[in-house]
Amino acid sequence: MVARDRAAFAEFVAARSGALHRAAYLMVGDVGLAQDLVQEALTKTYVAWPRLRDPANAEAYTRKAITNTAITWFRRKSWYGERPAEFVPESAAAGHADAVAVRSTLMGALAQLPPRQRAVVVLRYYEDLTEAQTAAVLGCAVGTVKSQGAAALGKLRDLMGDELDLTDLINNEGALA
Amino acid sequence: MTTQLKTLMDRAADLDFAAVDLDAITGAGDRTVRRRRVATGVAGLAAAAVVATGAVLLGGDDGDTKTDFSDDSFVTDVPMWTEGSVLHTPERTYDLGIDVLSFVRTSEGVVFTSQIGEETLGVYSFTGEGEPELIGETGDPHLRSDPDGPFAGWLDQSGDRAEAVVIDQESGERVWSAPARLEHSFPIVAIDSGSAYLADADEHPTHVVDLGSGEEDDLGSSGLGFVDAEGELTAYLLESPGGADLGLEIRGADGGPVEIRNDDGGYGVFSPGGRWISAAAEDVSVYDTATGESLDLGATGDREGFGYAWADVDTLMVLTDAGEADALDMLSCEIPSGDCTPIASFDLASGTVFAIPDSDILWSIARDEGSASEVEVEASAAEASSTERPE
Repeated sequence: MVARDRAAFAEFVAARSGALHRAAYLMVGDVGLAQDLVQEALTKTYVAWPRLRDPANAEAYTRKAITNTAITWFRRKSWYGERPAEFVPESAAAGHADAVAVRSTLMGALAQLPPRQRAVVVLRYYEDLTEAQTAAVLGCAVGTVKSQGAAALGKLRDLMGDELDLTDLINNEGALA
Repeated sequence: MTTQLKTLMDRAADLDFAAVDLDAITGAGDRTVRRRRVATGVAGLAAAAVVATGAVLLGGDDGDTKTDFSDDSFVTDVPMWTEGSVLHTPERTYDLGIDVLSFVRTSEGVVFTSQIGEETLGVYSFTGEGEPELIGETGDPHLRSDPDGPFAGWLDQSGDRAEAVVIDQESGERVWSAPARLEHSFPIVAIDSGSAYLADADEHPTHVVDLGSGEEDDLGSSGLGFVDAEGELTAYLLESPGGADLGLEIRGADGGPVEIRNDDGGYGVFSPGGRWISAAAEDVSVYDTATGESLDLGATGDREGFGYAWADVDTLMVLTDAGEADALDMLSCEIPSGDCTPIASFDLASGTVFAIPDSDILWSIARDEGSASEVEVEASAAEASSTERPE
């Protein structure tokens, strides 16, 4: 039996785990959960590694695993809203009151979005995926991405008010009537 | 396009995350791969893996459910399998009322999973009388048990927090539980002789807990992948330094490790008492655990297939090529003679799911319209995660 190329996989993990963690955190809003989510997704990626062949495929596969697993978790349990306040680790930005406030406000707003809308926001406006790429990750039609994105931006605008100017985004995307 | 939203998300996510546990990932991933490989091999026996249906009893049963049976006891140390909702034993059949996805035997009965929601499996207990009792919920179809004792375990996700649980099927009580992490780190890797073997995230057993007293013993860290345990014997994966499968390594209280080199690995099941171990290979293979030598099973040893469980100390349950497309035979083979008795033949033609017990593989073989040889053996595909996130 041929062994899996652990060295190549380890190289991929070292290069991309930071970005994957950040995207996972934005989707679930919890550091510990994001870490578990990435660990879980990378396990699936490792299993699929021989057929993924190059890092770009591996990253897309992992992103899809993170997104779908996160949505599944949210569907299965409404635990998110029941979670106690978590410990947020120190970072370069931590310690600045405005950064903490932004994090709190934005994450609070994202938390109020339905799981699929939240995934669309992260994939489209954080990961910079196209509508077609986002649809591929979510396994839905492009039209669904458009409608979910529009609904998400509208709700974010309502929730964050002046703290987040989405006017040009909404106009450019035609996201809202 | 505005950059404000992205900027805000960049700032919000600018956190330090713990390093990824690469060993846990590769350990769990390798184990998943091995499960799939074994299942695919068995499915390949029938030329194309499809859903098993129309099991034809070759002896001991007229195929009717609810047949007359004079003995009230529910005997489990016999060849068993399920076809849809019907549990078959050599003496009779039981209509469980719900389709079985996976099941294990205990000395008292069977514990099985059945789909009860889009992403939820019910965990049921059945002891031969009445209706199956719903005893838990899970997203993970892998179950653990000791066929010689009353204990069975699963990853329970019926509450807010996922936990590994063990029940005593004789009393119906949960005798042990512990918080679990993720699907791939279900901490119970085996149950044997009243003890549960607990593993860390990469499924290397680290502790054994006495299910009667609750006392835990540290097993130390062998660094080897776990395969099976029986009495004082434990089977581990034997790998090359590069991670290629070489076979199995058996460790016991006495003597040094015994190596079984068959260029395969990942699946092995001890006979009750531990005298033999059936290992996954291209043909039916049984090894003497004291010496590591392969038994000469005569014609049985030339069959494509493998022994997936032991009905008793010298009776191996075997799935093998039926000699024609879309069919598998289930045999009961005496060890060490290799004399086999046909039990059932599975006609792999249409939609009924079948399951065999005690395997670490989900023996539900589903038809994939796009690929007749596709075998779905894990519920962990990225496209359809059933993972519950425990606390």
